[in-house]
Amino acid sequence: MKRVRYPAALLVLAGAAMLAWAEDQITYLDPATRKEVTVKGVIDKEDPGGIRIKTTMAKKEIIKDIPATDVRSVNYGSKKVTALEFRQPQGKEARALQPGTRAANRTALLDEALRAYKDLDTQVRDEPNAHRYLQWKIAEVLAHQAKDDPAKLDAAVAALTAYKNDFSTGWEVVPCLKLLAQVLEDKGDAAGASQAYADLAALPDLPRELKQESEILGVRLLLRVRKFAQAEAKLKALQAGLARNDPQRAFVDVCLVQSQMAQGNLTQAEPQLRAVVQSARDPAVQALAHNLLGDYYRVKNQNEQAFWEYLRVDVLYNADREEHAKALFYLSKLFDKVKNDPVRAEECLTRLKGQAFAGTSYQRQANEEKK
Amino acid sequence: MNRCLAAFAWAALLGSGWATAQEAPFQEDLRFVRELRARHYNDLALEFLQNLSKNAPPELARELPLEIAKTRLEGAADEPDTTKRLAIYAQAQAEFEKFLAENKNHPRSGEVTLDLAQVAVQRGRTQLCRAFLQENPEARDAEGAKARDLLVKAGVQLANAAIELDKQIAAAPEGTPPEKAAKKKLQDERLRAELSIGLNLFDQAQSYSSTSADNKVLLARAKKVEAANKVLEKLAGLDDTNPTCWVARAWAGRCWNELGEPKKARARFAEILEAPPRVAADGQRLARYFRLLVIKDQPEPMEKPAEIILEAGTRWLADYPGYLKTPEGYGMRYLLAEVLAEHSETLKTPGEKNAALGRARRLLSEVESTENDFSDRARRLKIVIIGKQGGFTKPVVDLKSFDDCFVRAQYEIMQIGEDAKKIKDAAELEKLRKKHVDTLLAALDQGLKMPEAKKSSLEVNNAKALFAFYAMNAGKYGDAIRVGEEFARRDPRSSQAAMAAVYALQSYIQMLADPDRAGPGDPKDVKERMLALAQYMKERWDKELAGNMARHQLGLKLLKEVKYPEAIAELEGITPAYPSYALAQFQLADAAFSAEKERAKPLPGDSYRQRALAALTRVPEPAAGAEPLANHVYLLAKIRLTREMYKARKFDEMLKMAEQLAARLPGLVCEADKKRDEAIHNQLAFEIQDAALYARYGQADAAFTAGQFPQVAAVLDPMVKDVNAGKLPHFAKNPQLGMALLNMALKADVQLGQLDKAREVLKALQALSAEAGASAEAGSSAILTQLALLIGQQVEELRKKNNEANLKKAIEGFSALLGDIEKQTKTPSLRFILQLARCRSNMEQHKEAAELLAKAPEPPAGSPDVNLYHAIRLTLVRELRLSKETKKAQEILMDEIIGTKEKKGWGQRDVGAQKERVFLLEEDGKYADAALLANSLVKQLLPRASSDNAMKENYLECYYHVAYCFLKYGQGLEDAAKKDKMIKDAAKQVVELEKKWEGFGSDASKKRFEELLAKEPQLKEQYDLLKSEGK
Repeated sequence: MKRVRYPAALLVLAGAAMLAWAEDQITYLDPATRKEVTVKGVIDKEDPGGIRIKTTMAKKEIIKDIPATDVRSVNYGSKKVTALEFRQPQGKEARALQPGTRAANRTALLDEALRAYKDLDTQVRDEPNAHRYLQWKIAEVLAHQAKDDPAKLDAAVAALTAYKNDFSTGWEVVPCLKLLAQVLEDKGDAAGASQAYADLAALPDLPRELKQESEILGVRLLLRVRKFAQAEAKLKALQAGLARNDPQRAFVDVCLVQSQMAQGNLTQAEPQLRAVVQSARDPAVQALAHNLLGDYYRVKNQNEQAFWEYLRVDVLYNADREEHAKALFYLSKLFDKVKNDPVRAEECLTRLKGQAFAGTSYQRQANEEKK
Repeated sequence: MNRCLAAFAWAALLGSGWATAQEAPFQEDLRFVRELRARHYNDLALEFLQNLSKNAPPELARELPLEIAKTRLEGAADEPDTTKRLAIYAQAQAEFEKFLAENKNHPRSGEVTLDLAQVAVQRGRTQLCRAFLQENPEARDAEGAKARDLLVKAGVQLANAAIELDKQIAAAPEGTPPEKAAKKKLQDERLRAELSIGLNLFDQAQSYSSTSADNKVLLARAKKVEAANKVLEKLAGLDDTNPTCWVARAWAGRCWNELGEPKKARARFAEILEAPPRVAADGQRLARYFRLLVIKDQPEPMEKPAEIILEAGTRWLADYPGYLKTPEGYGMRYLLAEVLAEHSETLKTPGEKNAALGRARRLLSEVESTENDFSDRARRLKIVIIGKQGGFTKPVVDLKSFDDCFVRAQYEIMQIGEDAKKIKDAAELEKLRKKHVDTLLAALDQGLKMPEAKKSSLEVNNAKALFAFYAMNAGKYGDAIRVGEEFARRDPRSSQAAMAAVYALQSYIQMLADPDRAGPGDPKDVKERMLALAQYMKERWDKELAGNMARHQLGLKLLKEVKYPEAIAELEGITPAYPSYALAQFQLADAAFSAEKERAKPLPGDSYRQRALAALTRVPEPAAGAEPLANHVYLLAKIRLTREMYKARKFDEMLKMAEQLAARLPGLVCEADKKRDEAIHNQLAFEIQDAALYARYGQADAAFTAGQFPQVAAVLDPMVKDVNAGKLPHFAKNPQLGMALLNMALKADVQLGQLDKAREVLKALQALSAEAGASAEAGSSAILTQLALLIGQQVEELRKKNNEANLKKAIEGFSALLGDIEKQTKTPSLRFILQLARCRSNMEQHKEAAELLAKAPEPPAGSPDVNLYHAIRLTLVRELRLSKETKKAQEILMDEIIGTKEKKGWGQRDVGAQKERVFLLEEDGKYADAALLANSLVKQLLPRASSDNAMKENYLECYYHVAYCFLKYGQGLEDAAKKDKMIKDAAKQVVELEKKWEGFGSDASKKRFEELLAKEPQLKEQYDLLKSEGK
């Protein structure tokens, strides 16, 4: 009796697990709380705009749309692999990317994650959604590896380019093109990066906000590579299409100031940036504007004021890694220079050199300076 | 429970609620401040708030003081140094109080009341912590009493805050769910307030020594514990669903143990540990620690305290890593270390022993890292442990870690103190001290080079500051600078950095003063480096000791470079907390006086004089037992101030200050060396008395000018008595002042007709002369000289005022006095006769003067008095002329004094005699002859007039008489045209002289001509005409 019952119980348990796994599971960033939330249900639709999932909330079935940019991870309900198996490489990847992870450990974890993703992909090749997702994860891990090892940049570019060509209808194409642009920029291929942002903006079914964001990312790239005329033309076109109260408008305004400042035209910079700081609600705009104010004061040799602007970014508007890295870079100098505080200056430098800012241009600059 | 953090969390909760309820435009700024505080960037938060306050809109300006106070309060918790922490609490308290006083109906007033109470509690606790740090029992009791005082006051504030909360609870509505939630929050706060009241009573108990031999102290301690227990037990029983009540229960258990009831304490702890962690977690954390204290102090018969404590204590540390910096966190580590140290004795192998002791040392190092209730005990226990491990007998080179080196240094410092108690031979003591200092410097130097010293920590920082201090004192200035300056620049926010900077700066100063120790290199570099450090210190620690010291040094350097305005600006920045504040203010005053004298470029605001006076006024009165230099500077500054008061005619104030200084002087040591101190005292006493006498002179002079003669007498009469009684030796050193004062007294007495008193003054004058070493007769002559001057001045003044009555009175008075002097002098000398005659002459008693002079006997040829006799004869001519006996005067002048070509008289080439000839011709109306004679004298005198002042005066006088004789001659002519021409010529001469000598050449000359022009309208008319024509 016992001998019969035991395997039966196991079967029941296994069935339950398989049954549970039949559901899709999305982890995304809730924009209201800025916390990660997991939702289970059945994915109904996927496109560059995001994912639509049918789920149950308070015993009622609801449909939830999650923008592509908010998605953190997806566990597609697979009949071939268990949820645990599907989650395993994602866990390794997450651990590798944690700020405290040592370089050697990170490399090992990313290698393991890559192997596991590839292995999983061979098992779910006939499940299109899962296959598409795993291909994205493989390309993404390659890009992470390239950040640590520039020799792997070409491989990462190839993988991301292939992905965006092969899977242009999935939600993953949005983060893929963003990442591709970054990797190309890291590689020094500004034209390629710019094209990636253009491709992003041109994606069909892309929500208006995301399209604008893509265009702004493209403009910022142009500013970074000092193609001001081109950048300003694009910005003015964008500005014309935006209402005064449009949240993106402030961003475009600040980018225009940034372009002017980069060309040495500072006359209107301060009042314009102050106006943005007073009115903008978007922390990313605030970060950009305060950092630019910091730059403005630095150029004017008003280092004390510059210090407070960068500090505000570090303390209040630190969501954007690149802007935060920039603030830390200058704080690592100004803490010493303005506040006679080499200890805090060193702290800023240590933070900047940490994993959280891996791949940022200011981390690279800091490392270069140290050499 | 982390009581400090709980208080802040409480305040933060209220604060954040307020912030979200507001939609003010400055909310983002305040959010920035809160984030800075959350990062422990309290210094930056404070700076940002202070910057905001410069241009804050009114609604923000109203909130800023509160935010500043809150920031300060949070910053205090990060300050490891209790002295500084107490100062920050005091400042925060003052700010909260000010806010409350100025914003009585502010919506946050309740919150502020609680903040205030919590500040008071923290101040009391910090003071209590200081008491625990004291090494000797007396100091501990004294500091404990201070803590108790603060804690009692804090208790009152907590009780008031509780009453305030009760009122708010009673008035709070509870109709809607948010209202209910708000009321519940208030009730929770009320429970926390009650817990604070109970804990405050427990802290008060801790302020009494538990080891006191005095039963009264022990009884007082027990009473406080009982009171605390009562409050905590009551609170513990109120609500089993409230975490605060479980915390209260844990503390009640602690109280039972303190009261000698360990069983009751254990029972309490057992209840708590069995309760659901959801509500009792905080209470359980405390109970787990308190239970181990009971087990250590009063174990049960079958218990093995060491094993239990080591196991449970280790678990506690693992379970509560976030509570290591709380009193219980430190307490638990200390307890474990203590048990480990005891337990190591029972271990058999050296390896086990060393492992146990090593762990104990690590725990104690953690406890030592801030100043808390256990720091001192930890330090001592660590030294005992290292002693057991042989750490104090090993050569320094064998010490293997920073910790070993640092503790060795601490041990050596302790030994210096111990030696001082035991060894009486100064030479031996100094020899040992030097040995300890060498060892501790070697240990610190070695320790600071070890890898673990590269990271900033309280111990490493203490080691650096100690090294800089001892290196400086040992004359190793280069080492002190190397470590002190590097530390101050590298880690300026650390508590000890400012002092390290001070030691480095002092070392630079010493190095510059003693170039032999400066080592190789250019002294200019040393100076530049010193200035750079001073500049850095000034910017970094603006109002602190380091900043003040830097300002002082920079100010002195600028003074040396004669950059007065810059030096003054630096020195004015020094704050009263600076130990050498008095000296800095004195130097500032000196600089400001110099700037005034040198007409330096003015600074905005007050004049240099005002700045100097303000600085002298600011020099503080030295505290009892102050440094000799501070006393000396204080006295010098105030003496200087009295002199300035004289210039400002503030005589009453001056006298008062001089009297105060005279009273303070004997109690103030100005120099460590007794002999030198005595010499300085004598000099200062003289200057103070001088100031007092000058003040009296000023008072008397002011009264005399106002015609208030009785007042003059009232001021000066006592002094006259003192001189006559030999009580004023001061005048022997300053006879000029004595003469001036006595002359003033004499004039007043004469005016008052008080001849008896005037005679007293004369007596005093004679005494003064005698003291100055003159013979009686010479003294009388000197007095007469003074009197002549005095009479001349007073007669002229009264005549100017046309005060006939007073003039008559003065002449009568002086005549009587002169009569007295004459009678007293039985054999008058030639000088005496001459001065007496001058006195008579000044009273216009020319006939009497001439009679006196005529009687003067001629000295034999070759006698030293011959010149004096000549002066008498010439004066006789003058007095005869003035008494209209011109013929007699002419005879003496021409026959005796000037003589003939054949028989030349002694005065033939004497200017005075020649002038007298002119005067006699004028007197006889022979203006043409007089003019010719005067003109020939003018020609003779002119070449010497520009190089000899006396000759210049004679020249100007003779010139006057030329013009005068022209005028008088012209006025005597009948031909109008000739008359006019002569008067015009006279006027022309006047104008020419005036033009040539830029205003008649001298004051006396100017006076003469002005009087003449005033008296002679015809001359004036021509003079004005010529002047208008520009001739």
